[in-house]
Amino acid sequence: MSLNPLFKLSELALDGYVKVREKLSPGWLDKNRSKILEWKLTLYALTASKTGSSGILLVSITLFLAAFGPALAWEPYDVYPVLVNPELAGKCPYPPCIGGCRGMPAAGTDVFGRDVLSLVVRGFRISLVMSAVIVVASAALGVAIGLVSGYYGGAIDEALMRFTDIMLAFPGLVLAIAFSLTLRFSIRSLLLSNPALTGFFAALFALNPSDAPNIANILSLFLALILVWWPPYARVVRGSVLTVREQGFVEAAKALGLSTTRVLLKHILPNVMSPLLVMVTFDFATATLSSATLSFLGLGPQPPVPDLGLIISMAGEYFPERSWWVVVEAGAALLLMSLGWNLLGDALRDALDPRSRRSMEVRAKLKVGA
Amino acid sequence: MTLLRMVNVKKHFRVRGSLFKTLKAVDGVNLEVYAGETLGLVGESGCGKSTLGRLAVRLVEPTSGKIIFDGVDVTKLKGDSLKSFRRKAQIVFQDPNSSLNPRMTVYEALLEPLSEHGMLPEDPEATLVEHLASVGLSKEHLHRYPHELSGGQKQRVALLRALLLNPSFIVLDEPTSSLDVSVQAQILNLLKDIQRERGISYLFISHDIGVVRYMSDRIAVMYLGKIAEVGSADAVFENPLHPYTRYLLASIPIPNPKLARSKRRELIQGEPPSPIDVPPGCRFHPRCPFATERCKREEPPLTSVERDHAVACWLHAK
Amino acid sequence: MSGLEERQVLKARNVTVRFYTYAGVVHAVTDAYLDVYEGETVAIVGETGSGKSVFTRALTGLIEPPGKIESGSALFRRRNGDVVDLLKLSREDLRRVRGDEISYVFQDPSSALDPLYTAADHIVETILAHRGASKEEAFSEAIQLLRDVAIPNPELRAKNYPHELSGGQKQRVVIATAIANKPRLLIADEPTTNLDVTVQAQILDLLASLKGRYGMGMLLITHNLGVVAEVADRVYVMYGGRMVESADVFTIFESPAHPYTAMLLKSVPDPTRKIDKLESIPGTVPDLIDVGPGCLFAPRCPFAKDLCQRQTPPAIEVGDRHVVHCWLHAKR
Repeated sequence: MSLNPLFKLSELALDGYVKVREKLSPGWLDKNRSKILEWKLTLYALTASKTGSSGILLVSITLFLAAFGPALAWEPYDVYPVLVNPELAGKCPYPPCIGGCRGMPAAGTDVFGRDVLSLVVRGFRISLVMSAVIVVASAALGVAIGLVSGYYGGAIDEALMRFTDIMLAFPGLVLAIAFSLTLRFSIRSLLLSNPALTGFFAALFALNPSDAPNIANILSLFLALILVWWPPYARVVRGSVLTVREQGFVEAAKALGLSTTRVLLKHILPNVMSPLLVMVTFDFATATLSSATLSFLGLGPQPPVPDLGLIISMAGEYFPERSWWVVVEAGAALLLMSLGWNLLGDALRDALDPRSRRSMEVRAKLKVGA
Repeated sequence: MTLLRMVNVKKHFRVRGSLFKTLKAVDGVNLEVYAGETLGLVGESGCGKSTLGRLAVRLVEPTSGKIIFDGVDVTKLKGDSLKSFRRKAQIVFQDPNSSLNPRMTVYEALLEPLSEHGMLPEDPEATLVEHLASVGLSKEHLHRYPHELSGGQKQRVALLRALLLNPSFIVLDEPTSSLDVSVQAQILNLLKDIQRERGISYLFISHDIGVVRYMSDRIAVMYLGKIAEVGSADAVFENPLHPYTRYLLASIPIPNPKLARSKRRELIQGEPPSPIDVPPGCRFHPRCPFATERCKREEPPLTSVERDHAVACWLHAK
Repeated sequence: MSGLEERQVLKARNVTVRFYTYAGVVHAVTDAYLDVYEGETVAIVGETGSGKSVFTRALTGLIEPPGKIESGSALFRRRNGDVVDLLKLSREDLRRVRGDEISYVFQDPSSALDPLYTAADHIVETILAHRGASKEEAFSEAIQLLRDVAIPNPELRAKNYPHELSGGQKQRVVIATAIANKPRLLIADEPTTNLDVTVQAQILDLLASLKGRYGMGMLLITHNLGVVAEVADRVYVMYGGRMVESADVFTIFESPAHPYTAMLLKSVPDPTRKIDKLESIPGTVPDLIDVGPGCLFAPRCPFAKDLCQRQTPPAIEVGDRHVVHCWLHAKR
């Protein structure tokens, strides 16, 4: 039995959930005993290693800050202290100082006089939403193509895979630049004429709707990135599908007269989930860094949006003596996020591997229910 | 009454990397399965018995030939009519470890075909528990994952899954080969009980001839894609006509030491050839001690020699 | 310290093997014993979990952690007449014995042969490893051995790689490798299970003739009672890691004393007769984790008494070299 506090905590939460479900619909526990055992096993596997625990911790911090960061941030991002208070102009970026130096933020300011830490806390949300949208959309597209391609084979497979090869050959950066420069105008006008849409995206990124032009920037980046991001998913899923479709239970499903849709969604997809989940997790890290890089290059949102890549970029001209703290703080945030996803991905890969699962099952001696 | 009739069914696979070579897994089979009986299908590796089993339920499409089920030509069915055929003709596979989706509980796996065919019962839980009892399982197995069950239990689930749609015909492809001897006996008895109760026909494919004899009313012997001999179990076992059948039966180890050592066995020479290079004429002639010139040139048809006993061999042609 | 009789090749006593896993201690083999004499074929019969494979692997030092040989002795008479205890030999000495004086034939010939080496390579390798011979001598011996195992055109086949050989031919190559050094004992673990029945008959025939010619003892492990009836001289039946019965082959089949043996025989369909009903053994094989006292077959035995659940039955002699572990045969 593990003395791992993280596991104990999550086990407690799970047991609590089980009790509630059982109260709501008696008999639920018996029906789902095996399933709950599998969940516990995954939790155990994830928390059993230091990698897993650290990964979960970092990702939890990321998710928490992404959700509540904008609410917790103590300074608005769209107010420039240097404009409000002209005498600050020459002094910013103001270095960090311990002990609250004459009313200036302890973590230092950026060139506009904004508290860097407050900006960074807001930045988590933007980074996470960006990476989530890119990864989820690409994965969805890639999985759909991979499933169809792998299952049907033949001419369909050939056509789809050649198309995938072409898309893979596209230079992502060039495409991103091209899209960003050309599409942003059309997206901007789309947003301006559609306040509901603007409002939706503004809420998503925790920005003011008046920053619509900047949101248009981000959206055009998305389109570009998704277009070049999905091919690896299609490839990997197709490979998995090729193996899974040879399995006995797929043949059995056909013999039972199950529709192709059902076979794809209920039999093939769940069994390619494991490598997919691991890939998605690692991809979150890559997407976080890639979108930060593009913002750094100026292709993403423009000031005053607190995008981490942008913040680092703006600190560039004063680097290193006059803005090192900006780079350190924003950089640490990016590091924390990508490291968290990577560690979680590693742990997930081990946790989902059927062989190590079965041997862990015995070691864990898990119990379900009273 | 004939339930299934396969007329000159062929299944050829193209060999990769070669324009002309084909793998003739099934090369012109005429076979009948009667209602309520068990037809045993025996043969060694490469004879095509597994492929024939899959052809019978149209899991594999025939290259040519016809499959007639219950009077209806089902060879080219599609869509809903194919689906309704599937309800009547089911299959149970050899390896219970791979024929059940590892991510579905027994409950989900059993409910699925019912749901697909619009046969969902009012109280699925209770109905399924009853069904489980009919194959020797109990309520505690219902919500388990396959990896929590033993080999024998998994095979019972696979069998129940096939039975739920109320088929009149089931292909059993080596259903007990991966199981222990003692479990095998349990499953074989279960199969017999179910047949007695419901009158289902079985096509029982196996390489274990003792098991086939126990289960079958009639037996067909396959060699290199064709039926060499077919007839009632007693006829084929007591009076094997085809030289290959004789060798096959002579090779089976007999679980009786006195008997085993008393007879001097005639052993067959060589090994089964590949279905890619099928010999001309009678496909068995290279290994047959009685081969004549005619055997090397002409392929003998399956001819009836006595009541319920047919053989494809020039030695017995009239 | 020669506890061996004349012409006795192997004498194993009290062999106990445990596996220490996270699930608990698996009592894979408990108090197993075995005798093999020159020129005879001894069969160990059992189903999954009977311990037959683990037992024979223990005899040749093929048990790795978390497995541990807790106790026992396995006296073996070497070619030069020395008697050694296999379970007490150093790894180096055991390695010398394996492949030379005791050799193995496994179930799956495909995994026993290295796909990168030809048939002759395998045989030559084992000859050179255990004997001082030149490569040319070893090669011509290999050809002769391939001829001995009835492979047609041995000169050609010698240069074939495993993927160019059929299942039966691969198994013959494995057998040729196993007999290359004229071992004292040949251990065959389910040697024909993966083969077609006609090929199986050929291989069994071959093994019988080789045994006679080379004067070696053969230990055959199988669950197939037909194979046992064909080739075995004496039979040991294992269940749940223990020996439950041993006798010569005729006695085992005609008058089995242990209920498990009797029920096992009845559950195998005899292809020579039309059977009405196969008698199956109810229940499943026992879980060997943290096993307590008592006969392991008791839960499934129709004759089980109270005593059977509480105490493990000892070896009871019921006939000429017919031993059974069952309380039913205990004398008052």
